[in-house]
Amino acid sequence: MKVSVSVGSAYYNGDNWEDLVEYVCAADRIGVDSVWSAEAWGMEAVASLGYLAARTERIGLGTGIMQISARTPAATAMSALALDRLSNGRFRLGLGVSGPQVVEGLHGESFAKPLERLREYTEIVRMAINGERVAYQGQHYVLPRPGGEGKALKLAIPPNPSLPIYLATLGPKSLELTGEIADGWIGTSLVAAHADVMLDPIRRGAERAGRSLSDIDLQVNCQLEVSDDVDSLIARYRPAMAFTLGGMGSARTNFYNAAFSRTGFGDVAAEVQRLWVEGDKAGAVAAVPDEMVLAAYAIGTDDMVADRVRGLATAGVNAVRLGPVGKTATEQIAHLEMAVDLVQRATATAA
Amino acid sequence: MTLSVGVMSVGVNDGFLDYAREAERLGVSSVWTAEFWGLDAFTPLAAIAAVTDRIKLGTGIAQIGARTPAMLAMNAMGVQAISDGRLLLGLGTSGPQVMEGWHGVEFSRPVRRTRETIEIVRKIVAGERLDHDGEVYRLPLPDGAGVPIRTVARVPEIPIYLASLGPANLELTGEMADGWIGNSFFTDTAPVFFDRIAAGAVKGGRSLSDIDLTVAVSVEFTDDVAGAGRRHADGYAFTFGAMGSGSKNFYNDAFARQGYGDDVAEVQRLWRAGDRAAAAARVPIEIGLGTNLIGPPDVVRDRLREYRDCGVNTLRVNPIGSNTDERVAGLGQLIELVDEINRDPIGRLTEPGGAQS
Repeated sequence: MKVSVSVGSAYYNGDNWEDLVEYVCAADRIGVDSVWSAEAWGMEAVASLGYLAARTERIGLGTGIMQISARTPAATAMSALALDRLSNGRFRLGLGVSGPQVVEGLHGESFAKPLERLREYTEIVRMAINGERVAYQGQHYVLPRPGGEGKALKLAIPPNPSLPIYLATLGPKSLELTGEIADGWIGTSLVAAHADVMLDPIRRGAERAGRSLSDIDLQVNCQLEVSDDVDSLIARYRPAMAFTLGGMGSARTNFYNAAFSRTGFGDVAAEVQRLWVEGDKAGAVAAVPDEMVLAAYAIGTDDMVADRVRGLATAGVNAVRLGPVGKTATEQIAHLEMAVDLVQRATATAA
Repeated sequence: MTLSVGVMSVGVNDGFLDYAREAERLGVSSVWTAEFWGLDAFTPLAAIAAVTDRIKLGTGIAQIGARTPAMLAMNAMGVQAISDGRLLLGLGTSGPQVMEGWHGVEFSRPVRRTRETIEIVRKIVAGERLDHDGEVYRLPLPDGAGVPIRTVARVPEIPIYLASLGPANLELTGEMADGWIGNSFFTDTAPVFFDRIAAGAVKGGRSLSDIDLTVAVSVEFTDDVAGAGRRHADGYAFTFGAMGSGSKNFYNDAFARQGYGDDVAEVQRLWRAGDRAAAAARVPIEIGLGTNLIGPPDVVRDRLREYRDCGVNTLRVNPIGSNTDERVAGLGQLIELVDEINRDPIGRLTEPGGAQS
């Protein structure tokens, strides 16, 4: 099982950048597989990785994710190749559709047909990165623009056909698409005991494309914290679960809520969302049961966490993505060292 | 006058991080990337930010239209946050071939689009809730699921530079931008550009001196002025013949406004007829010599003075060299020469509005 880390979050505001750099440089030394940036309506995903490429030696760099509606496919290919070049081939391009609030509110683009757009977009990015002349006739993208003055161009610099593309997907159809066309999956909200809910569609997509689930690098986020005071941990993580179920997206479109609903927590997810949307946030938090918090996060005693990590490995997950835990860079680095050790111990005994 | 350097064309130059570091050590004021259909302009700046402390970081330019205006602002804020506020956000419209061919985006109303992009970017960077009811952009999407969003990122104000050549875009630069990115520029016809920027500045309630006027040149220290000038002239055959389309070539228009209309038309005709050698030979050597600094140090010093005297604040120099060491050596020599001329009084001031255009 590989360990990767997140840098910043989708809502990162740019504070304490030097601490994050120190954290990632430590991850680079410890042998962490990769570091992933994010973007929503705070920082974007590219600049941080450009900086980190110049400060690190071995660690992989991934965008987790770049929002497809915010850039043309060609612009995404250009940033991807820049990161690939600046990191000497350590870059993995993670793409995602984001959600209607950001896409329509901040970017002014229509969110309609996200799955079809993601397929077409990924195909065009792939053509550009491969150095092919980019001419494309899709339902959503047509290149060059019809009736315009442009002719099909190809990349003006050396291509990299082996640059991996990861997709961040949650719903069954988009998971199938991931299996069909992507090199990796950026997973979230995966409950190990119900991993099939997400991995089966990826497997179906992979098999449709003549490959297997093991051809896809399967990475899931994993909030990992060890303490013998399990009740306190649950109490601290419960509000995050309530926010995920109730506060993300809109009442109509919450991909995370939908994902948890498919893992046996459907009634809870609906109830928590109802309370949250009505404004009863305390009630929503209280409605999240202990077992759901424990199922969703890798928290608890050393044995409990090791068990959770083993569960993910057994299900076929290749990498867990950890977030920084602790207030200072020193605390975060100490936590990371502990977590890497724990994951290695847990999955060594699994094998 | 200060000096800046560029580190990119379609891709980054080999050793560009070392070069940027050396440029900072020598006292160069800013380092600039570019964007065509190779690498993007922001990512290399982020890498330079990681290895430098003081030098300003400019996109020269980031293409308007390749990203949504909000993402353009977010890219800029990303570099601004990790560089301690050293970004200079240079914007340009690119051209219809790249926009419509490579990006699949309509190239229409470029000046209006630029104006609205600046308005949106400034709003986002200032931390305001984003709504914009423009002619080109409407945010949030009308009848969509989005509400006006305020980004959580907080960064220092970002100076905006515009790459502009045509009169309307030059006026917009004067009205709204903090700086101008110039090319295709001759010092003796500087008013062709500066009068329009000054007119725009007046409209914006300020003056030409509020705008950082930058121009890019190549530098070649050589005793063979005729040979080097000829080579640089030859290189323009591609610009005049192949860039843009038959009807729209912004560079040709800029040269025409500076008295080279017949020449560029003939070069374009020859290029399009397939005779590239004749097209190159037809480019007047004055174009190669007049848009670059070519000659022995004394000549280069005089040329630097011409730029300083006509009103250019920042000269983006590209010292020709076969490796980083040679380019750094050329840069060091240029820094000494510009220090010398900066000690001289200004010889000839071009008064805005005082010359023919």
